[in-house]
Amino acid sequence: MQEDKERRIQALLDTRQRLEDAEFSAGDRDDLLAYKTLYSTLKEEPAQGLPLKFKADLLRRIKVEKRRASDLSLYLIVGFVVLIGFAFVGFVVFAYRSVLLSFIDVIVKLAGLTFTGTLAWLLLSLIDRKHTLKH
Amino acid sequence: MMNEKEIILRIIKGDVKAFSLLVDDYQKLIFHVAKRMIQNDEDVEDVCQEVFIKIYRNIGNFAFKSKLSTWIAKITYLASIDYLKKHKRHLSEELPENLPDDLTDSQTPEDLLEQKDMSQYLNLLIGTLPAPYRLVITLFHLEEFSIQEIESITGMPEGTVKNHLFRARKLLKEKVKQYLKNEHARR
Repeated sequence: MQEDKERRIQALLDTRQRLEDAEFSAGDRDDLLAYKTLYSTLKEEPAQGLPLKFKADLLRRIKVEKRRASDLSLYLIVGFVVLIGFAFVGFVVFAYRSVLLSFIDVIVKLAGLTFTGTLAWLLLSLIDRKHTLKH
Repeated sequence: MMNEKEIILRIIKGDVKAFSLLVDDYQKLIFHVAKRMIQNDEDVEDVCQEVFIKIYRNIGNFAFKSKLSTWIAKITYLASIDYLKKHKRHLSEELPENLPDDLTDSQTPEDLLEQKDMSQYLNLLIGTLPAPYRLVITLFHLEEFSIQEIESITGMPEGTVKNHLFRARKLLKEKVKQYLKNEHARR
């Protein structure tokens, strides 16, 4: 019974119907007044909100995200160009493999000489650097 | 003055100024929903930022089949649920028989009553309700969403939404009634 009455008052207030106190008994009028007060208070916006710096921080983050997205597209383009470059080199190697093979042959035959030469050059550079630092 | 569709199209093209307008229009809605679900201020701010980032990334998927506010409220609701799950907070759905008289806050309900700040008093009381009840009350009364819109935001069946609204309002009404009675006696 009590629940039916409560449901009726809530339904009337939900549909924003004008409620006349006369329609209700003295006991129900207290409930009606309490509900009317509750409904109007629930509509009031809470004083608390997001801090003022919230929007600035958020927009900064969005700008960073946007920059990152444009950097990513740049990397994708560069990656694509590098891939095309490798494909071109691969094609050249395949097309001129006989010339390249004889070149590699020469390198392999002179492997000892190439290794000793590189080592000597590295040693000389090291000695030269130490000498320069002393003076 | 840009309309909502124009704002959305400009955001899709990457216009940050248009996004700033959207932030102005919807930050209260997002804050109210997240605050009701999470309650802790610092966490709420983080969730609000995550929600806006999600909106920025996914606004191209908005199909104009619902109001933008409904779509945004749904994203906020889901982000809040994710946050609560991630931080292992229990989402109680059980409504207490009575609302407490002594609430732990810097101001007690009695202080607030003396200041005649019914709004703050009610907010404290709403804070003691389980999350789904808090959310439904906020969406319906503060944000003025319809029952069907709340159903679409939360995924709760219409009957559950109505029941949550009825029971939460009934409990809150008892406290308001008590307050009004005390006020009357004081005069």
